[in-house]
Amino acid sequence: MTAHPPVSRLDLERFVLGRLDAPARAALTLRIAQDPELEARVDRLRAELDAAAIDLPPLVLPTDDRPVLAVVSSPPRSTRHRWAVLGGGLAAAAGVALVLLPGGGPDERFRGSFELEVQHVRAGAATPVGLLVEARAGDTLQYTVTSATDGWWMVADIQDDGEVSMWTPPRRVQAGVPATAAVQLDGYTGSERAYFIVSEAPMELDRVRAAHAAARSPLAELDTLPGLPGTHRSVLVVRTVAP
Amino acid sequence: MTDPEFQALYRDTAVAVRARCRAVCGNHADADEALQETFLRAWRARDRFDGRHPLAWLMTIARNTSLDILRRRRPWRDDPLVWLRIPAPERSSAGASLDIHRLFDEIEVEAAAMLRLRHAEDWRISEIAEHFDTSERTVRRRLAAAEAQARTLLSAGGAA
Repeated sequence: MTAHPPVSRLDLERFVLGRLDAPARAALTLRIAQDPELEARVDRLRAELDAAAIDLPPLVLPTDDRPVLAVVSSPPRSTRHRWAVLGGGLAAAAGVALVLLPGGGPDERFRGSFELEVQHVRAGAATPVGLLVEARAGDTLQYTVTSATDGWWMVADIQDDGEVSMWTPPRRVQAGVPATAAVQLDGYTGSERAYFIVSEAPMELDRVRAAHAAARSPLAELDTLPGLPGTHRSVLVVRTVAP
Repeated sequence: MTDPEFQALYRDTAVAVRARCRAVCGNHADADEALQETFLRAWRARDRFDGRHPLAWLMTIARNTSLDILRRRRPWRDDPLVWLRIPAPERSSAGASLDIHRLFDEIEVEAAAMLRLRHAEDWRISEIAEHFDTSERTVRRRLAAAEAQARTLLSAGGAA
């Protein structure tokens, strides 16, 4: 009896997808017929792929050749407590509105506007959010963007220590069609500002990072980021520990 | 690679990439984010791709993208035992659960993903090694270390 080398998962995926050449496919078909365990692996993989094929989202390519998305991994968040920004944030929150008015930097090419609704969800109870929300680990922020024009939307987050991360990567948005996403908050304590951005094309996180670096102001004062393409507005999130 | 060629590549491979992302991320929302980011990264890098082994190329990008998302989200913090699909009778007491949370605060993201692929997805050691482009020996060592730590904490918490 000949000992066969193990079959890699990648080759099984190629087999199920029909991407093996004819000789390799024939050889593997023969092995599968002789090896119940291998056959079970193929059946299981086929089931996984069948499930993954349901509601497969369409591919949306960027409209130009510029780099469109930079995903920067966030290191584990610190547990430092920062309260200094709270006072400024509360002051900024005066006149909280459920639906915020359009914003945008002075240099933007894209003149689209959008409506934003943010809900703070804790223990199943949802509360509308205005310009500031106090939240803690395990809470969820759910947001809906309704753009007046076709474009892209994304949500970038900047912590008070300058760390920038993507809450929602660039996604297509159609005029008048609400787009919803959510983020569940981790154990970070401190302040951060979430920027909801609608733009003509997908935007790199580096653009947000650069705009923030150029602003040189504390987060509490940065309702908008000057120089950021597209239209955007923000919510200040003050992260506290559970009582 | 032209737009139509890239579209064809997506049609041919997206299902497999999505399935891999689901296995690693453990939930459909994060997996779809990983899927999108994978193909956007691939699109950006298409001029540097030599055209050989596109599925392997995409799977490498998908692996790194999924790990990036795990680093950002750390979905095991909600309930690591659910994330690892540990059956209810084996689940720990509340005290042990806290310890598991502590473990997962400290665990490396790659080790957490390996634990998930092994215990929740029932992947073979060889498959995990292939996915992480490392040796089976390394996978066994990292899994053993993480599992031993988990067992100690579960035992200390009074779980079976």
